[in-house]
Amino acid sequence: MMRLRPAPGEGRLAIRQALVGSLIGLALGVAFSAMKIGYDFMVSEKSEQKDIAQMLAVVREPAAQAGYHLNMQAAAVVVHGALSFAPVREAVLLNDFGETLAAGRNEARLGDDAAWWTRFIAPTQEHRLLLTYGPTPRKVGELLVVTTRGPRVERFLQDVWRDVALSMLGSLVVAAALGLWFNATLTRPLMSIVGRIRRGMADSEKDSMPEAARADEIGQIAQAFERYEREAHERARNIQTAAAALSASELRHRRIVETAGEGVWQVDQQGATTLANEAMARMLGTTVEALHGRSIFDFMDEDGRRLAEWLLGRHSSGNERRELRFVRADGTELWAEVSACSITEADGRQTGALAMVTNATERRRRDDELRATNARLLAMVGDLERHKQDMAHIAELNELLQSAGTEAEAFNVIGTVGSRLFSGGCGGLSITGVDDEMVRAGVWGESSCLPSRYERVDCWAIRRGGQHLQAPGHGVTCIHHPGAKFGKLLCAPLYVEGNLLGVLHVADCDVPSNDLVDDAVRRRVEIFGEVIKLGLSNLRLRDTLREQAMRDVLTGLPNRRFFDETLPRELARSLRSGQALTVAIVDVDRFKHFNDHYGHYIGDRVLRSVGTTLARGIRSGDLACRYGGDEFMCLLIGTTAEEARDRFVRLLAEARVGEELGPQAMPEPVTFTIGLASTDGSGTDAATLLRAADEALYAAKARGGHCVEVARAGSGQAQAEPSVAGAGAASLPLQH
Amino acid sequence: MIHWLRHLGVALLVALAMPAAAQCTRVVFSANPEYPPYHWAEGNRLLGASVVLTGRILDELGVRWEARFVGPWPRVLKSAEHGEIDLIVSLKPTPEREVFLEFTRSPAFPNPMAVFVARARPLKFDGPEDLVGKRGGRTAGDRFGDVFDRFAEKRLTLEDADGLDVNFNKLAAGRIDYVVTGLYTGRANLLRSGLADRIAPMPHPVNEGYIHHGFSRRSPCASLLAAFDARLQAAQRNGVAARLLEEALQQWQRSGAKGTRP
Repeated sequence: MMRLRPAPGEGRLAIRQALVGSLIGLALGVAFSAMKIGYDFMVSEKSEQKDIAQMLAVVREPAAQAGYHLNMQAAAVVVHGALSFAPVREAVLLNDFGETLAAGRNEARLGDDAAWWTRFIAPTQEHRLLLTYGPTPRKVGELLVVTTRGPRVERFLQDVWRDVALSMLGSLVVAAALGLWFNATLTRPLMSIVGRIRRGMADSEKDSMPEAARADEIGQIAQAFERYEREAHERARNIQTAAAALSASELRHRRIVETAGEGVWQVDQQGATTLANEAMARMLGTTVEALHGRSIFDFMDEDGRRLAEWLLGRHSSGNERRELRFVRADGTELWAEVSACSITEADGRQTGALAMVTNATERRRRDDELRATNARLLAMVGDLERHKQDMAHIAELNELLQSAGTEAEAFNVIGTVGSRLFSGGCGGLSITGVDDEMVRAGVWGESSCLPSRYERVDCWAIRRGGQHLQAPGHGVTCIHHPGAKFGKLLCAPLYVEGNLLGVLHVADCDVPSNDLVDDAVRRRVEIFGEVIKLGLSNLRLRDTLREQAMRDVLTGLPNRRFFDETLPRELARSLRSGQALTVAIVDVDRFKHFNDHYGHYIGDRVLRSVGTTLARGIRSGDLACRYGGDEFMCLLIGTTAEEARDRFVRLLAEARVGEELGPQAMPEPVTFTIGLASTDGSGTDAATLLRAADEALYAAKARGGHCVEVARAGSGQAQAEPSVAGAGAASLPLQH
Repeated sequence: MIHWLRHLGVALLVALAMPAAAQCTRVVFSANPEYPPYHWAEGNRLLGASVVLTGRILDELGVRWEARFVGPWPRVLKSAEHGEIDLIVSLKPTPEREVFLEFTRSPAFPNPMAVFVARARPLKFDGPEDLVGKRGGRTAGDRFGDVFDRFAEKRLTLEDADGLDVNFNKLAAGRIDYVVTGLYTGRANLLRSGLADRIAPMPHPVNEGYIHHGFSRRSPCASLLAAFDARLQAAQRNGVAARLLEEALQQWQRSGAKGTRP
C-alpha cells in the first residue's frame, strides 16, 4: 500500500473557509459596529441638543428684553452668556429689524473645521431662537447660536477605534478556530477520500473506506465514490472486451475488404484516395500502393469528373448507385457500377466518401450485344408482321383479281392493293400495248410517277429482263423516270411464258435517298408481280375461252349461244327503257347452190362475206351473229321495225357481198333475205319475237328472196299471213 | 417669455405703487412713551400735548391718522428709521437723527432747560455762574446745549443718576443743591411724585430749547412737512402749543392720581 504523501494543496480548503468565515465575521462586525456607532452618535447628538435647548431657554428672556428695548449692552451680556456654554462657537443677537444687536465668537474651536471627520459630519450646527415680547407676543428679534461638534466627535472617535480593534481581534480568533475546525471536519476526511482515488483500483476491492461508514455528507461522498469506482471498473472491463471484439471485427473487415472481388475505394473530400483494396487497384490497372493518395479524378474524363464531384458533394447519408466511366492506367476504358455513400464525422462534417466499385465493362458489352440481338429480333418480327400483312394484301389481291370480270377492274384492284403494299410511295403497272408501247394501266399514289405510255426501250428493266433499281448514285435512270422528286424507282418486268406482260414500277418517296431498296421491298414487288401475272393471265385466258365459246370460228361473228344469252337481256333492258328492239333473221339466198356448185371453200367465203357485210351494215351498239348454217341474226337495239327495214333495204340496195375481197371473189352475186320482228309490233318475249321474225323471213323467201319482210304487227303467230309483204318499197326484190 | 412677463409684472407694480408712494393718505406717528407732558403711553395708547396738536393739524389737513404705541423710545426711533411709522412727534433734532428724519423747521413745542431747587433751600440763579460751587444732579445722558454743557464740564459739579426720580429724591433729601432738567418734564415728574410743593423750578431757564416733528425719510408723508411747518408756526404764535402743554400737565396729573400708569 502506497504511503499517502501530503498533497501540495492540502489545507487550502480549511484556510479558505476560515478566511471566508473571518471575513464574513469581520464584515458583520464592521456592520454592527457601524450601527452601534451610528446609534451612539445619535444619542450623543440628542443629548447635546437637549443641553443647547436648555441653554437657549435660559437666555430667552434676557435676550427678548434686550431685543425689545434694542438694548445693546443687555444684548452683549446675553451673547457673552451664550458663548460661555462650552460647545457654542458663535452667538448673534438680532433685532426684529434684522440688525445685529450683539455678536461674539469663541476662537478656540475654529480649528475643528479642518479635521478629517468634517468630510462626513458637518463641523458646526446652527440653532435659531425666535424672540418674542409682551403680553401679546410679538417678534422682537432672533438669537442665532452656532455650536461646534468637535469635542464630542473626538471623544466619540476614541471609543470607535477601541471597538473596531476589538472587533478585528475577535474576527481573527474566530477565523483561526474555524480553520482548525474545517481542517478537522472537512479537509482530513476529504483528503482521505482523495488518497483512495489516487491509490486507484488495486486495493479498493479489498477494503471499504472508513469514511463510508459516516452518516454525514462525507460519508455519502465516500459511498458515491465507492459505487462510482465499482461502475468504472465494470465499464473498463466492458471497454476492454469491446475493444478486443472491435479489433477482431476490424481484422475481419480488413480481410473482407482486401479479398473482396469488388473494388473498395475511400476518398477524402478533395477526391484523394485514402483506402483502396487489391480488386480496385486491379480494376484500374495499378497497384494499391500507387493508388494511395492519388485523386479519383485522375481516372476520369470530364463527364465522369462532374458526376464524381456531385457524388462527393452530396450530403445525403443514403447510398447512391451510379455507373461511371473510368480511364484505367493504361488508357483503356473501364465501366464500373459505383455505390457511394458519404462519410460524416460525429459533428456532422463530411470528410469524404466510400464507394463499392463493381467492374461493369463485361456486363455492358453483353448488354450491348443483347440489345443488338433484341433489335434484330424486333426487326425480324417487324418484317414478319409486315410480310404477314403483305401476304394478306396479296391474298386479297389474288382473290380480287380472280373476281375481276375485266382487265379494267383488275387494274383498278392492282392500284388499290399497290397503294396498301407500298404505302407512302407511289407506283403503277404498265402493260404491253401495241407497237412496242407500254401503257399505264393501274397506278397508286401520285399519278405523275408513271407516264401514261412509253416505249419499251425506255425501261432498262425490260431491256435487262429483270428488276432494275434506280436511285441517286445507283443504277441507270430509265427514260420514263419521273424526275428527282422520286428518290428511288424499282422497275420489275412481268414475263409470262417468255412474253412481256407488263412492268411493275414502285417509287418510294419516304425512304431516305441514300438507302437502297431493301430485300423486303424487292420480295414484295416480286410477289406482287407474280400475283399480277397470274391474275391477268387467268383473266386473259378466261376471256379467250369465253371468246372461243361465244364466237363463230368461220365468220368471226358471235355465235348462236351468245345471241341466245344476249336476247333476253336486251329484251329486258328495252322493256325497262321503253325503247324498241328489232330482231332480224338473215338467210343467204341459194346458199346450197354455192356450196354444191363451187365447193365448200366458196360456201365458206360467201358466209364470211355476208357476215362482214352485216357487221358493217349495223351500228356499233347493235349485234350481228351467225345463228347456224347460212342463217344470221341481227339485234337492232333502240330501233323500230320501220327503221330497221329502211336500214336493211338500203343495205340490200347498196352493199355487194364480197366486194372487200375483190371483184372476182364471188363467182356470182350473193344475196340474202331478211325477216324482221320488233317489240313494238310483234311481242316482247324472245320466242314470240323469233317466231315472228322467222315467219317474216319465210314470207320474204316466198316472195323470191333478196328482200326485207317485217312481221305483221300484233301477230303472235303470224306465220300464215304474208303480212305487209306488199307494203312499201322495202318488200321489193332487189336485183344485182 | 417668462422673463419678459416678469419684467412686465414689475413695471405694472411700480406703476400702481407710484401714486400710492407719492401720496400720503394716512399718517402713523409715534413718540417717546415716557416724555410727559409732551406725550406718554397709557397701556398701548399715546396721550399728551403732542398727540393732541398733531391730531388737530392732521384733521385740518384732512389726512387720516393714528397715534401708535410701538414700544420703548429706541424702538420708536428704529421704527421711523425703517419706515414702519411716518412721523415722530416732538423730539430734539440731532445730526444722528437727521440721517433718517426730516425735521420741521418750526418747533412743535418749547423745551426749555430749567434748574430745579428745593423750596426749603432757595438758590439765586441768574446765570450758570451762580451754580458754581453748588452740587447738582442730572439724568445720565441728558444734554443742555453746547454752551452750558461746556461750562458745566469745566466749572460745575454734576452728578449723573439713572433717572429723574432719583435726582429729585436726592434734591429733596438735600444730597444735592439743584437738578438740571427739562422744565415741563421736570414739572410733570414732580406732579406725579408728590414733591411739587417741596421742589420748584427757577424762573430763569438754563437755555431756550425747542423740540420739532421729524418725518421718516422713508415715508411718503414727508410731503406734509411744509404744511406742518406752517401750522406749527401758527400754533406757537397763537400760544396753542403752550396752552396744550398746560392742559397735558393737568391730564398727566389726573391720570397719575387714577393710577392708570402701567
